[in-house]
Amino acid sequence: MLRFKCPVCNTVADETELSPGGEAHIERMGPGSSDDAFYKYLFERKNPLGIHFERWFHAYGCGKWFHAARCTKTMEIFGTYKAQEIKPPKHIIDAITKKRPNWKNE
Amino acid sequence: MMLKVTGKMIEVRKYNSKDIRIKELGGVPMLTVRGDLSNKRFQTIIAKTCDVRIPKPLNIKSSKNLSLAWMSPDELLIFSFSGAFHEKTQKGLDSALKGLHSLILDVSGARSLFLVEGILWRELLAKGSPVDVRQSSFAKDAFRRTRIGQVSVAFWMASDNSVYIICGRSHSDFFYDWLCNAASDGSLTKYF
Ligand SMILES: [Zn+2]
Repeated sequence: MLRFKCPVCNTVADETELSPGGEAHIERMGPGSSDDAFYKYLFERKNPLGIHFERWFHAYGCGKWFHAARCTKTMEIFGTYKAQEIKPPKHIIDAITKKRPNWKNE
Repeated sequence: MMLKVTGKMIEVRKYNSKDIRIKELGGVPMLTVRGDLSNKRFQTIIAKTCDVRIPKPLNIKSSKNLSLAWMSPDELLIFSFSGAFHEKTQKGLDSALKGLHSLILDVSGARSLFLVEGILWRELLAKGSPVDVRQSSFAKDAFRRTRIGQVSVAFWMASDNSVYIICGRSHSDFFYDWLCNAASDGSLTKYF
């Protein structure tokens, strides 16, 4: 069972109170982009066994989206941050590297 | 906190088990107000019209005439204690919030209200909700939006021995049955 602290309303929400939104920080490719870039934006996802940045929706609570950093192998959650962040903030990166010194953000 | 509604609170239906009393209540007017709760002007208007300041996140506050619940950073729910006051609040907010990005909507018919009484109410909620309902983390004035079973709800303490729950009107038959079943005799633990 996963428990996330929603950074909007500060409730510790159970996984069942949330809807998953998949990989975070995907840059949108709109009109004007190449077919290849648009294809990648639509269909290609990272799906790593390890650290993953994700979007979650507090569906049964405040009704807001937020971001989370989680390990898909151990289910450990390193932290959550606002949906408005366009990349993982420093305190999240620090929390991950403290526990996984060999991890690199790519 | 108790909803001190003047006049008649209609008892739609009720169920008593040995430990728990469940009532569905009608006749409590509700207003949804949406807008930026961090906006100073919005805060002043709410405080003036409702006679109570916007509650902290995940809290509910009352004045003489209404209870004000925090739903999200851009949503409040108002329970008025009389139909007349409900209308006055809606009109007051409508005109005061002109020009500010906001929405006021009467949701009295869109929500159902339940009162669950009995010292074992925490056990009942814990059966269907992932919320930590221990006294130490869910106490007086807390207002929590979550799920019970698969129904989207919000609940807050009415008194030490009772809790109010609201859910969507279209879920209320299912939810009432769920509550009655969960409260059936001998089925509640005494964990809390
Ligand atoms: Zn939330």
